[in-house]
Amino acid sequence: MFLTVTDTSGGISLVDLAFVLATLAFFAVAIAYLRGCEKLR
Amino acid sequence: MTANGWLQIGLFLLVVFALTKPLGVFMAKVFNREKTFLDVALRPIERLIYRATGVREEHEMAWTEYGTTMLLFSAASMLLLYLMERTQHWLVFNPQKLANVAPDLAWNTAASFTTNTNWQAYTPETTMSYLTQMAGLAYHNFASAAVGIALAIAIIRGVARCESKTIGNFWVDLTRCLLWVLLPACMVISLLMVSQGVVQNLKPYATAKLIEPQSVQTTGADGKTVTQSISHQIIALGPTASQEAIKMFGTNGGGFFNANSAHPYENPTPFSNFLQIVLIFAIPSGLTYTLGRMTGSQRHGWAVWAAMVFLFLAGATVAYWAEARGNPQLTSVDQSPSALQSGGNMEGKEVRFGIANSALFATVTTDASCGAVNSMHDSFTPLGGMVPLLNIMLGEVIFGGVGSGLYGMLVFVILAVFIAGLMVGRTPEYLGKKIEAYDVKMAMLSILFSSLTILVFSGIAIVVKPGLVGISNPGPHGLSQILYAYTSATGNNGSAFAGISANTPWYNATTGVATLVGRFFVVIPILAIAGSLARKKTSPPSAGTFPVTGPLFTTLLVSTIVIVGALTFFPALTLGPILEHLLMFAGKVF
Repeated sequence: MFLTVTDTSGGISLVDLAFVLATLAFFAVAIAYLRGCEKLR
Repeated sequence: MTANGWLQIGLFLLVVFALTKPLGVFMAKVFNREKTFLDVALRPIERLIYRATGVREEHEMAWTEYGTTMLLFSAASMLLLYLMERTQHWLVFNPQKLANVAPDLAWNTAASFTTNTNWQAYTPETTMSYLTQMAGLAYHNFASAAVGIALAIAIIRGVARCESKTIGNFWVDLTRCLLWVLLPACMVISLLMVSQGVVQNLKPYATAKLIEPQSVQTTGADGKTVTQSISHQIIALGPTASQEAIKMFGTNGGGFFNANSAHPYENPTPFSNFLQIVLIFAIPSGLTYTLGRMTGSQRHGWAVWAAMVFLFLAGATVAYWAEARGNPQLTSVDQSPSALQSGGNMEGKEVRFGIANSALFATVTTDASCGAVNSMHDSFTPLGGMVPLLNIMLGEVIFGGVGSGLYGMLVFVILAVFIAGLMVGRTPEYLGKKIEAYDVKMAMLSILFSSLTILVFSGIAIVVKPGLVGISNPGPHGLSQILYAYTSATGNNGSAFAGISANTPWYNATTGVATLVGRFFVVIPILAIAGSLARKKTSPPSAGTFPVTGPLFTTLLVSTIVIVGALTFFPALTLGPILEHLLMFAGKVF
């Protein structure tokens, strides 16, 4: 059920890992952007 | 257009006006930590929450800490919803045994609900379990609305404070918003909705036997036509009323059912319809009064309110006029209003709501970043459909989403006083604070991120195959569908030109990114402005100070919003709804 490459079973897959990492990456960029805004002052 | 229709629009505006001061005063008291009638019951709960979570309520945050905390909270909330959607099949409260949500759709929905967008690329009653609806989506309806209001309050503090390094405490603002503002009101509203017939239960879906069985022809997998006899209908149920309240009051807009507020179980009566439209504007309108009260300039709050009302009336008038006018191509059809019919363009509209209430709902839901619908915007006439689209493009500052509308409007206020300063050759001031290069840079960053996301994603989608396969109409209407999708996602609205098939990996990924950028990359520079303003000294008004209180300021503010919006989006609108409108009169419809 877990860690199958495709998601045909409706289980948790590697695609999930990609989406979780994408989410974390987005918020990491957002925090860096916030710090950039502060540095611009 | 009928007198009855205008009377209802007028009554709506009157009720919103009447709610503005009481709600505004109450929210100012809540966030200033002044005494309210709910303190006896809620203060002990608030203290308990802080004790359990380790929050120091007296701790004040700089804008960077406030913003980082908000981002981390949003990231954690989003991942939690994603996990719930992906595992709902194995969790409780799933009487229909619905499958886990597909990864791309689950991610899109998680991003969408975290950002108060509530873009729904799925049919809720066949996709989301009761647990996901209640503990996942409804939780986000509350949390994302509270985050928006907390951010607006922090920004008002930035304007109001003087030589301060801090703008409040995110956890305290979030908690107080949930406990004092959203939860008590939504409990009352939910009961009102139930009284009107909105369903509220955890039962499996009901099956009803049709009085007259229907024959339906479908195309099978082999391409052959198959005739099916339908004798039973499945009627979706669920805990709708509790979600409906926050859906409107928190300007979320995500329907419990696919038909949203056009569904009789979500919006059964004329009163429920009126209540829903009022609820969308209630908090955003109240926040303008809160702005005036917290900054000590009540007239400024009303000037901002007046600008919002002017733009709202302009949109409502155009939408109502365009829809009441109908389609000129239907020459043999009587489209005039009478005691027996609404008249006008009734495609995609509920007969029980008619033209006026459909046009009003569409205008209000897109002025605010709500996105709930009681009619299908895709079926509006080209100019009628352009109104919702343009409302979102203007930045959803016409009352706007809870919190986000006000902080979006404050960006335009900064720009307006900056332009006024340039015109008279004086350093621009806003309520005694000097507006400097850094503040204007941040304001522009906020506006540019939003418009860039809409136009770049739309531009890519109209030239790549995955973008084009989603549209259901060719020509300018197809462009409008794509443009609306990215405008709605970036503007955190969530409504759609629903002819588009958005549940594809391309649209799920790109609209998901657009919702996130539209929320967080827009608000961060605004928080930076709040931090910058809070640090500044307040200087008393002089003869050269441009007043931000009268009709002149309101006119300048409206002009700034319209000019920025028009310059940015006019070319795209020309190729979409405006061209479609002209072609309609030339005899070609899409």
